[in-house]
Amino acid sequence: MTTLPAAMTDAPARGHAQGTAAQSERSVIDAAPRDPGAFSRLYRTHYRAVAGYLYRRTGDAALAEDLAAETFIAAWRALPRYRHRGVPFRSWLLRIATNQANAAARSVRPRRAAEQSASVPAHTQPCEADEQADAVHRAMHALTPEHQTAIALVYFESMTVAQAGAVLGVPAGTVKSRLARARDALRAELERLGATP
Amino acid sequence: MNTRHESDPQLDDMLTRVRDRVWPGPDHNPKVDAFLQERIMRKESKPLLNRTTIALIVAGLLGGGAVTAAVTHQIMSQRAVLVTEDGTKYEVMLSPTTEGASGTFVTDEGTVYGIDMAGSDTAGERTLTVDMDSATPGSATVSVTDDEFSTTGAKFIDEDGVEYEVDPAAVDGWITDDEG
Repeated sequence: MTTLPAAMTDAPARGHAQGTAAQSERSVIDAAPRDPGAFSRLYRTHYRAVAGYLYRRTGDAALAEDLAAETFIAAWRALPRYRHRGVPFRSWLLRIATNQANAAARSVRPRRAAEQSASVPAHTQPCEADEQADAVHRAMHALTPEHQTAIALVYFESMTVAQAGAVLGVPAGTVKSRLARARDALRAELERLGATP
Repeated sequence: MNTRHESDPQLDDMLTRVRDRVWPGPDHNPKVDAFLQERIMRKESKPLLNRTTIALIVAGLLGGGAVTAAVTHQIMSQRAVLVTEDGTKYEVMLSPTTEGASGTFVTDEGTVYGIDMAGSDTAGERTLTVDMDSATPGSATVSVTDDEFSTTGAKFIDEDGVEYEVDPAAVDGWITDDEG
């Protein structure tokens, strides 16, 4: 009897497992509009990714926590309109999160400025990496929300322009052109702030 | 990183610093926890109606002397107001239908609510029926606005059997006297 290499035997099993997981999530999504318990499972599965995205997008943990809450509450209300159209559920959540972040970026009122969340620990000792990241976030504030989004999805979330386009519901070429302009604007703002290394 | 438009190692390095930042908070959110807990408790405490469409019946609310045609005319001229749970109000001018009027609310989130209104005058009892698609269970109330209509006692019942009192205060400022 021939024994297949582990990698070869594992691949189909993993594929099957992924398919089963996708089917399982789909059944949970189908049930969620009428079952807050089912939605709770979706929320638990995706919360960290959404909160992390908003944190990297805004540079503010307390604000990210607020926006993450608004994202999931909005998702609960919009869930009956969600359709399985090849766009992963997480991408749909990130689209809602992006809308929340864009709205916050456009807001004339600073949200929870200098306010510390009770559940998110504060920064302790800032290091050089933190200072550089903070500089990027300060410069990001000068960008349009659309440019901030392009930077965040592609550079912070490591998406391809096609994946970012799927999140935003725009063609990949649109993301690519926004990204080019966003990089130029970010570079200029960093130089203006004297924050380039 | 998968896209490079212009080589700039310094900028890329700074962007990588942000990419490496990990969410420092917990794996759950107190606000979402409370929001879902409330809905779980609400669901457990109410009987399920298991209907895809809810109906709101407002009986005896029409002014004296009205007949069906007049009722229809009145409905044609109406605006309706949708009040979501967070207090946001959406107004829609209803369009005339054979039996009354209908319209569609689209919230800021893009959720679509359909509303159909029909008036009747049967055996001396004047009735206004409001059917509303329960597209988002448990998240909406509906108000009927008209100078001659009272919304006192009107209720919106969602798919989970949760009843929402129509808030007359929500109607203030929305009442119009447009006559179709």
